[in-house]
Amino acid sequence: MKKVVIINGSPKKRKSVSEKLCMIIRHELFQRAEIEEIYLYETDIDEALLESIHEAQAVVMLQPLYVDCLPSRVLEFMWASQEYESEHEGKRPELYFVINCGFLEFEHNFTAVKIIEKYCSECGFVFGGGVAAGTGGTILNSHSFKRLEELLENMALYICRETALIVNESEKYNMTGRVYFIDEGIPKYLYKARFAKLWSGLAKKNNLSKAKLKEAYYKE
Amino acid sequence: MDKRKIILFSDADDLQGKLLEKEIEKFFSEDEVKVFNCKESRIEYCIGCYTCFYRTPGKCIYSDDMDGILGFMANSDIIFILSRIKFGCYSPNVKKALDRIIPLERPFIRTVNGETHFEPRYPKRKLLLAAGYGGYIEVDDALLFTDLVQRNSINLNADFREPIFFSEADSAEKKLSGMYGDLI
Repeated sequence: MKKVVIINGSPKKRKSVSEKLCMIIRHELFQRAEIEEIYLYETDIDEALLESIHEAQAVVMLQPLYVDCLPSRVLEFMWASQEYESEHEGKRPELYFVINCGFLEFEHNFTAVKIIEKYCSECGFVFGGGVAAGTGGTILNSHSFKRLEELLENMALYICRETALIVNESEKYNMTGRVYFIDEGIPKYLYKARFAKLWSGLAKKNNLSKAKLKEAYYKE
Repeated sequence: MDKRKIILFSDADDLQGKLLEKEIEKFFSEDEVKVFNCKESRIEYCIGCYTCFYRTPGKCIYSDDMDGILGFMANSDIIFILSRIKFGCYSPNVKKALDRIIPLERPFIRTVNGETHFEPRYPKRKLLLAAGYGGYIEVDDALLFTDLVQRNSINLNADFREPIFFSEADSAEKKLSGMYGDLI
């Protein structure tokens, strides 16, 4: 069986949106691949970890978008990984990814996708492709979820495509280097209103007014 | 003219980086420059808790070296990022600091260039400057880095200027004067 390493790059670890998306991939990979899971925010990035990742046949990186880019801990891994690769002759796995962005539009992910592509080319990894989503966690309860689920399932099936039983199905979405972008596609005014309602509601629970949420903390 | 407040985020930990840090500080010697070396500072990872949105608006849950820096940054005139580049991206140390800027934003949405973004908590418009260094910087790294800085300028409520790229042989003073000479 193919060894697949799943890297969760969310600081929220097991409570993250990345983890929920990971469950879909894990479900499809179950019994079709040997899975190793790594939570970057609770794991030391050492030689043993890098060896394990670089010896895999496939790697799946899941993370949120932080400040138009990948979270710093994910970058720490990528820098260490590139240094490891320059000193060792690893198997050079296929790399797949999932990025989820809290803002409405999937376009926010473009730069991060290009950074992952560059990382692959510098490490000699095969850029397998991935899924980049907008709309944050609310996409899990939206009409777009079915499509997102389908994309993730097919990505997982493609990763373990050598498994005879699923050869035909995996051809449905040939991932090879392709990136699928998805978001909820609702009007911006609706997203804004939903966002304001969410935070105002949370503030109310903390006895804070909407005006208080807007106040400057640091005075000039 | 009042001194401008300039925050310099740096990851310098070698000779090239330290020299660049000094040159940038010297270049803006007429201003108040605060150098924040992200590598030498105590910075916690942003954990995406959003406490700074709904429990202690504008204040991060962590009290570390970022606390004072966010205060300075909130009302600064220029944000300067000096970072080693790999994959067209900042170094992890610089990114760790940038991941912590959420308290400078409000939990409300505005639209910029057709995209949703957070509202800035501090209305003062800044200028974002950046410089990348480290070995040989390929053209696609430079383009990607430029793209990243441009995108970050929106979230930092800042105007964007093309970044500078320093190779080891470059004269920092000449490049700074050439690219940002109009700012002094």
